[in-house]
Amino acid sequence: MNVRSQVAMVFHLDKCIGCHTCSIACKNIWTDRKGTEYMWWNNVETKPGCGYPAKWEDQEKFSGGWEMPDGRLRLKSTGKGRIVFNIFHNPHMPSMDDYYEPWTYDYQHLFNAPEGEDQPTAVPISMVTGELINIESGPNWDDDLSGSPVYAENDPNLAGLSEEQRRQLVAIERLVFFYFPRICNHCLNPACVASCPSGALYKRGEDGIVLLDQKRCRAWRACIAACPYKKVFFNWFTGKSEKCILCFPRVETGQAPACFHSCVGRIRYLGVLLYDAERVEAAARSSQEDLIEAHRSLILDPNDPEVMAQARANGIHDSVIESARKSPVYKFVKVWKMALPPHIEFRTLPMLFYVPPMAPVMAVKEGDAVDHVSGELFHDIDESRVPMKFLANLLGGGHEAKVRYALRKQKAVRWYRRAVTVGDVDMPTAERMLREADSSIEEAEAIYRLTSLCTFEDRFVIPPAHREQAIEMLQDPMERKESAGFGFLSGPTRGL
Amino acid sequence: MKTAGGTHAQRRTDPCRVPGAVFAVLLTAASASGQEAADFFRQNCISCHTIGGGRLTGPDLKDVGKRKDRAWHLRFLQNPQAMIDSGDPYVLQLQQQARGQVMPTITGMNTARAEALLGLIEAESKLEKSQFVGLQITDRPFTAEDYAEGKSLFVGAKRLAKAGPACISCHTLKDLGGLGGGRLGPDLSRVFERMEGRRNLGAWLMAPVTPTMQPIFKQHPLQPEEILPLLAVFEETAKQGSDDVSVALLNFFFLGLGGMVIGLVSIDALWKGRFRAVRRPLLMESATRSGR
Amino acid sequence: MTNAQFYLDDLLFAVLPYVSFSLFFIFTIHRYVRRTFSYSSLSSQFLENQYHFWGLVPFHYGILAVVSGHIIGFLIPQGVLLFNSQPLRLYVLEVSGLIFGLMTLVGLMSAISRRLTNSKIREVTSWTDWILFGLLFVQVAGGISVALFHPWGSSWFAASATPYLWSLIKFKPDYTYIAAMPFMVKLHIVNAWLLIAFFPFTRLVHILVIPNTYLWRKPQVVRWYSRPASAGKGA
Repeated sequence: MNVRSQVAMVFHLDKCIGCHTCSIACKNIWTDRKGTEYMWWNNVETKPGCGYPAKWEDQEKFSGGWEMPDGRLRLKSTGKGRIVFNIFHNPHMPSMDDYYEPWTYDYQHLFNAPEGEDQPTAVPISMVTGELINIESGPNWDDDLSGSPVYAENDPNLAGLSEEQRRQLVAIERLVFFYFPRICNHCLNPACVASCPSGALYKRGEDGIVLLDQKRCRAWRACIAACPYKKVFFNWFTGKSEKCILCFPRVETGQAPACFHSCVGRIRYLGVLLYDAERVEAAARSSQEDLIEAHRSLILDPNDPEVMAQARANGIHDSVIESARKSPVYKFVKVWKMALPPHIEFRTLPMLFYVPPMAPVMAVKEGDAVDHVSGELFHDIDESRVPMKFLANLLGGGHEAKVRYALRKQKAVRWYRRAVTVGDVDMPTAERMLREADSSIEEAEAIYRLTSLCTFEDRFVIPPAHREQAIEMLQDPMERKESAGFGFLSGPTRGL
Repeated sequence: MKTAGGTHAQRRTDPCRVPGAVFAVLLTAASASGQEAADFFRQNCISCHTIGGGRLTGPDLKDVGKRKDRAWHLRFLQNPQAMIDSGDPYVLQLQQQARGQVMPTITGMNTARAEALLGLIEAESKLEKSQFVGLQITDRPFTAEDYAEGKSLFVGAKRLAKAGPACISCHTLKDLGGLGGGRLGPDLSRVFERMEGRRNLGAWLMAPVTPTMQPIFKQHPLQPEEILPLLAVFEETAKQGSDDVSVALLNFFFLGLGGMVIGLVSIDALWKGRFRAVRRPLLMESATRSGR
Repeated sequence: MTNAQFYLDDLLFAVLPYVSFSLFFIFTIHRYVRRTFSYSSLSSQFLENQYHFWGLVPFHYGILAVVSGHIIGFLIPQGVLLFNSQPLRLYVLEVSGLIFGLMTLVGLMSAISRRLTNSKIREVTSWTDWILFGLLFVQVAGGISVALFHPWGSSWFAASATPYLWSLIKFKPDYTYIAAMPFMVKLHIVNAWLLIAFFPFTRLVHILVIPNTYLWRKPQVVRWYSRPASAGKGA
């Protein structure tokens, strides 16, 4: 057992209202520089939809993540060997066209336009070239099902759905969607890190944040293609890759990352997970059926004395172990098993988990009359408007059982709370529901509290960074006394 | 060689002079020994001159010191062209005898060297048989074996004894076949006529003095037993005239062009599944679908 | 034939190489130490990836083959002469060289036209890029013209250019070997020195940071701030 700690995340999709506040918070802090205009380290997608970049989940086209052609794990894009022949032109790399060309508006024209017959307008201009552009796509082009005949109908997660299920998803009055906020998953088996020929990408040993060393990046572009979530971006101006840094300067000082902090729906949870680094590769190699369980089994119980001893032996500070024991992520993922990794079949073992959304009630149709209330108080999970198969493709590695389990528990908690607060459900029924959902009154109470009554401190249990120790071990702090400081001595620009 | 070659030769620079005075000083200090003069003579003079071996392109140098005084010779050796320009009647006479050819200015010639050379010639002239009596090529008619051997030396199939590059590297010849010979140097199809026969050409090959060949063959000289078969080839080809080289050139070019096209096609095939675009085709596809 | 010619040759074939290599070493090292961030291939594939393929792939494969040929001729000239001793092998070598040269040229021209015509790519093209493209074009087109009009270079490179290059390395520059070469050959040589001189100031520095260790490092990289750097390798 090689115990390491990781700052992991849970997004509770049932609470996401799709306001994009997270995206804006991130953009304002990190990606408002030249060359990063098109980047959204945090973005919120509408599902069903093609997302950003369009159809990123379709690895037949984007070749991201890992594959196991002969029982051995290898990158689907360019790993060792193949990079030698593909370093000049990466054959799996999308271009800006598949994201969108960033634009602004020529606002000056409103003030400077010569007097004329018509009201002056602010025309859109490209933020790359400054020329007039015809806007064809944007960061949220298919938001709220806009353009659904193109985008929603081409969602790769629709694979395996029957014609009827597909029709139902987009039929007027029955259509349904939910939001899917995405950031870098800070994976346990990151494809981007494994693909980087320069070794610029790395996972931090202490907190598992995946970072990119800008001074070692040489723009070989392998990471862009290798990340199946398309969360490594190419800065076209500096010629370097960039990605979500989980606001590590904030996390190190005990603050939640900007997107977490600003989340209006309070859907985001952040906390420490202890995991067994020794078994990561073996877990990534498990069969498709076992992937979710194998991934979950890597996460260790922070209350287990042996795990605690091993963690200490591995240099993990007591305060970090302490926050692991309080981690909301541990509860959602490991104890309640309600949070699931997105697209586990990419085999990168993401450390961002999603609680699947409860879909709206299925309308009941009797003759010509449409009744929007199901016969049951809470309709059966399998009758939800989002077909179980769709959610399973997204969050269950294609297996409906995992998603059904998570949704049943959510539903049982609702029955239970209905019995407590409204009383139109009797407690024995609620208890039966909980039992059927593999839960209990105590657990339901805990789930309810962490889901609905959660405070800042409940949601974000951030471990102390203990960087003071790290610096002590690396160098004498007095060395830097009276010197020019750390980091870049000149601003990052393109080339010389 | 011819006058043209002579002007080329004048352009040569002294290797030791180049990086500046340091090298120059180092080298002049080492000069002036008798052996050095003999080597210098061998590398620069024997392609046109003998000592007691009769006239080649230039006159036999036996007892040359008796024809003009030493000061005249020193001047001439260091700059033959200047002497012609000055209209010296004896030099003009020499030029006429050499059928218009001018002695090139020899790289590295200076007063000390000229003195040493004149001393060497004087000493050699007194010998019964000088070491520079020249290549004594037999007058027997060339055989088919000579020709075959010469051909394989020319194309390089038989390597030169002193590891010099084969003639084909820079020269072409009539009926060479394939893509022909090189074209850095002149076409050698008629060199036998240009160089006026067996004796002169043979002597020239002993120590080629053109600026590009000299530095190479100084270190990798042709051997007498190699020169003979080569002469056989030159004599034979001279009877046939020269080829039109542009055909070989075009063949070469089109082979390259064809190969490149095949290369590009295979690149396209090798990366058939490369990423092209996803978003645009998606829009196009749905546009055609709804258009129908 | 004048003194001016002497001094020009001195300058171009005996002084310039040393100036070029000095610039090369001083400024690549200086840039690596002081401006590490600027070491990048500055790829523009992200902005345009269709013509990129037709430019960069033929160019790189072509130039790699051609440069390797030059290096082999430089390192084992006798081996090359031995190989060329059969005319057929000579022709095969020369035709392959020409094929790769032409591929380089086609790749370079499509890369240049891509930069001229695509407004996004123009945006990320600096004046040093244009100088570099100019030098590369002269070098590649010149090389092809030498191959076509002054064959067979594979042989005479080994016999003439190699001793010249070695004389430079031994600090006894002797350019008599190439002094009377045709203009295009001399241009090719001088332009090569210029390219080496200009190298540290261009995107060409990416050649120096070819990621060779990737092939034998562990796939996953972990860095520890609390452990010494040596312990931070591997997953």
